[in-house]
Order: sequence, then C-alpha cells, then structure tokens
Amino acid sequence: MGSRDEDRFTRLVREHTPAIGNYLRRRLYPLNADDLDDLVEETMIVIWRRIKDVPLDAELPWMIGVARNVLRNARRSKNRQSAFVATLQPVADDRSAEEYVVADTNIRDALASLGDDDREFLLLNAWDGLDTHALGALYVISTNAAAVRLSRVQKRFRELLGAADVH
Amino acid sequence: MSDLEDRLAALDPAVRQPYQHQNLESMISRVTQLPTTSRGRVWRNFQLKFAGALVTSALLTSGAIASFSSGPTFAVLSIQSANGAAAPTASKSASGATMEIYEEFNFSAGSGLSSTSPASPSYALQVPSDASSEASRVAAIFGVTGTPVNTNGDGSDWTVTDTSGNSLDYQRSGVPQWSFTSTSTGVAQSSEAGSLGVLPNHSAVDTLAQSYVSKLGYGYRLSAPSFDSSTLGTLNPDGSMKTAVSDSVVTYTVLVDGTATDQSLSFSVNSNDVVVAASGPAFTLGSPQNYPLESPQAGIAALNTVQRNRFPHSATTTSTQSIANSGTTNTTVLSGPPIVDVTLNSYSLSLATYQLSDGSMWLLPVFNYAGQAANTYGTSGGSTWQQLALNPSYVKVSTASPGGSTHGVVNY
Repeated sequence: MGSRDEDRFTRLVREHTPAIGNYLRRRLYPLNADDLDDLVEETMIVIWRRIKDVPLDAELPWMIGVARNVLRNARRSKNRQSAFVATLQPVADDRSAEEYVVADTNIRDALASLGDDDREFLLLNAWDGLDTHALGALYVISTNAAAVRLSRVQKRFRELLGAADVH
Repeated sequence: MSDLEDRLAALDPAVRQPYQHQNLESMISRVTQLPTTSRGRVWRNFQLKFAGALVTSALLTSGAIASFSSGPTFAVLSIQSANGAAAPTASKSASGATMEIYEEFNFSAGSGLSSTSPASPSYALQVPSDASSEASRVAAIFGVTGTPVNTNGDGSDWTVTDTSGNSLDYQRSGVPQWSFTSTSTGVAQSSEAGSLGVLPNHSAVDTLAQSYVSKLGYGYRLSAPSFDSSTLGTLNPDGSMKTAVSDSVVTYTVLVDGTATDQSLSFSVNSNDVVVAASGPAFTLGSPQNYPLESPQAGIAALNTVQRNRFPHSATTTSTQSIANSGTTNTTVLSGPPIVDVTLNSYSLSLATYQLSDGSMWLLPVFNYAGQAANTYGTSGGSTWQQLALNPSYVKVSTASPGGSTHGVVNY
C-alpha cells in the first residue's frame, strides 16, 4: 500500500462519494442513511482494492460500474420482502406545470414501458449526469455508439411519453 | 434543459435528498486499513450484518403460536422487516422495475373491495441443503464441468466454470437461484432484422427450454411461455449497424395450483438452437398450509402503515403547499414528499416469496390491488399495489434493531 494510492483514493472518495451515493439512492429508494452508507462503503472497498485499475480518464463511470455490481449483489442477497413499486397508467386530464412535480404518472408509465437496460441507460444520463463519453466508458462501447444508443432510447422514450400525454 | 429533462428531473429522489456520507473521513480511514488485494471482504461484511439481523429477530420470536377462536392453530410466521414497518409488503412491480418515485400514497378501499376474507394456501419451500453440490448438478445439466468455487467466501455464492468459459452461478440467499451463461454465439448478420430472421421458431425454443426444466427436476409447474428477443449489435462509425446477433428469449412464471408466483425462469436460445443463457429458482414445494387471510379491505390499512414508515426523514425535504384559512391566506411549509391519494377497487391473489426469521423460505398469498391514483391537482391514473394477505394474527414482523437501523437489510 503506497501513499500515492491512498492520496488518489482519498481524492476519489471526496470528489465522487456524493455521486455514488445518489446513484445508489436512486435505485434503492427509499433506503435509510445507515444502509446507504454501508452500500457506499462496500463500493469504496472494491475501488480501494482495485485502485490501480481505476482509469484516469473515466474515474466516475468506472466507480459507478462498481456501484452497479454492488447493487446487483445486494439485490441478489436480500430476500424478497417489504416495499413496493407502483405501476401507474396514463392519465386523461389536461397537464399543468404543477402536475409534473406532484405526480407525473405519464413519465412514470413511459419509464416503466422501457426495457430495464434502456431505462438504466436513459437515467444514467438524465439523473446521474453521465454524458456519452462517460456512458461509453461505463458500457465499454465507443462514445459514438453510446450517442447512438442514447438517441435511440430518448426517441423511444419520447414516443412512449407522447402516446401517454395525448390519451 | 428540455421539457422532457425537467419532467425526469422532477422525479429524481436524489434531488430532494442529496446524498452525504455521515462520516467520510472515518470511512476513508477504515477502507485504507484494508490490503488492496483483499478479495472477499466486500460482500462478506455486508452479508454477515444481514445474517446477524436475522438471528436477532429469530431470538425474539421463536415459539409463538396463534389461533383464531375455535379455528385451526398455526405457528406464527416471523418475517424480517426491512424498514420497521408494522406489516410486510411484497416488492415486485408488474414491470419488474427497481426504480421508485418520490411520492407518498394515501390508500383507501373502494366499494368493490370485500370485507370477507378469501382463502389461498401458503407453502414452505424446500431448498437444496448443499449449495455446492446443487451448483455442480445444475452445471452438469447445462454441460458445464468443473469444481464449484465459493466466490464470496461465505458459502452463499458458488460458480462452476469450464475450460471454455461457460459458467453456472448458484446463489443461495433467499430462494436459491441458478444462472447459466455460455460463450457460444449465434451467427452474425448485417442487420437486426436479419439476425432475428435466423432464430429458431417459438415452438422449438419452448421445447428446448422445457427439456432443461425436466432435467432440473424441481417439479414446479410453469405458465404458458412468453417470448421475446434480444440483439447484440456492433456499429459502424456513422452509427449504422455493422453486425447483429440475436437470441430468442422464453420466460415462464412458476405456478402453484394455477396461482402465479414471483418466481420465473428464462432461457435464451441462439440461431444454432443452443441455450446461451438461462436462469431460475431452485426449490421444491412443500405441502399447502391453510393460514387464514385478512380481508381485502383490511389489507389497505397495512399499505398505509407501510407508507407511514417510509419517509422517516421528511423534515429535511422541501416540497411546499399553501393552505387557505378563514379568509386569511396563511402559507404553511409542509415537509415531506408529494401526496397521492389512491382508491383501490379490485384485487387478485398471487404468491410471493418471503424469508422467515429462521431462514426458511415461504410462498405466501399476496393481494394485488388495482385502483385509481389522484394527485393534489385532481389528475388520476390507474395503479397496482401488492400487500401480504395473511391475517396479521399469524404474522410477526421483526425489526432488525431497536435503534431503527437495519444494518445491511436492503429494501427494494
């Protein structure tokens, strides 16, 4: 263990822990603070263990990739119990600006209609702020391929949302 | 920012509750004490805490018995609560989505919901006692030969990998799940349509999948097949398709006496009629036990109880609402998520898996409610919800620790 590794790890943790925590919170919401901290720490342990593998030009996407694996293990490890997820159908009323922040059932419905992989790709961009370069690094595809895929998913999402909005 | 991005951002849970680690420096100190080559600590740590929580609740609840007046006597089912809720609620959505939206729901029973309790049996599941042996057995069925490797060091995850890279993963947590992946690939085509066109027909895919189900020998019954496809493509620099390889995917739901469960099997078959991926549960069904259920109306109260336990940190949130009072407008800031009123009018029964505090796995009846959700501004839409249907007299929900921290129990 060298101090150079420690310095880099400390910088990574301070810079990117909020993004990693938010990524996990979005996928396991609601989760209490202690459990969320535990998952973040599990992620950081993996990152520390593989500190020499963290690519200089794609640190955050690589760290989110680790968090995805931690999340996958967490889901496999837990028993199926508790909590719920709603599946809301399109609404039939005029939209208002307030509606969006109260209960945007059309957005929810359109997201639920996307495949799991496409929804994750879309939300990594929309919620987690990964651009096409970062998405390419995370999915191990070219930036161009990531751009094509993002464009396709956004188009599909707009189509689903458009169908819901006009009903 | 576009309208679309605005609408997506409005549903982002992390916007209202941005994450901050409670003690970052302490975490850095702990983590950097570990050797950088320490493999296996990662998940063992998490799972030991989880196991500890289960042991604690088992000690609290062992030996309890409940009965209904002159009715049958059953052992109370002690279920581990993930978040301190008074009643457990099942976790599957119709879409299988894992994303949840930051909203609080107030549930009420519509006139279509009965106050009479229906009947539906519960089932204890028998799971393979030796995970390593079961991993080997299932691996052999898929043609994977090798020595099972305990990948996380605690005996819950076993992987068999052959010299070609084909592998069988066996997870023992909860209902054990096996997952096969092959390195075999189908024939690449120059377009997605072309790659879909060379896939075997649905009947052949179903027949092939059923032959594996028969070899697995768990004896559970399956629903009618549901077919889909997946395509892996490579792109040219201009974004056009360079090569495409598709698989046909068939999925089955495990049925018990004709009732759907939350367990399913999936098989992916390539253009060479080869199974390239498969997954499913490893269990056999125990005898039915006729635990009394609560009424569909009573289940609504349990849904509301879960809601009240769902937002423990609402004081830190930021949504606002104006309240008019006797001609004078007072603005009161209400902390907490947006409120949605949900009226539930109908239900169906299905079976969902639960793990009891003693570690045993059960398929228990759940209500699948359907109804209408209405937000503050009066707009509405359909919604579906799931809730454990057992009479609460026969269920004891144990919190993981009296301090409110679940320490490793993951809720989703």
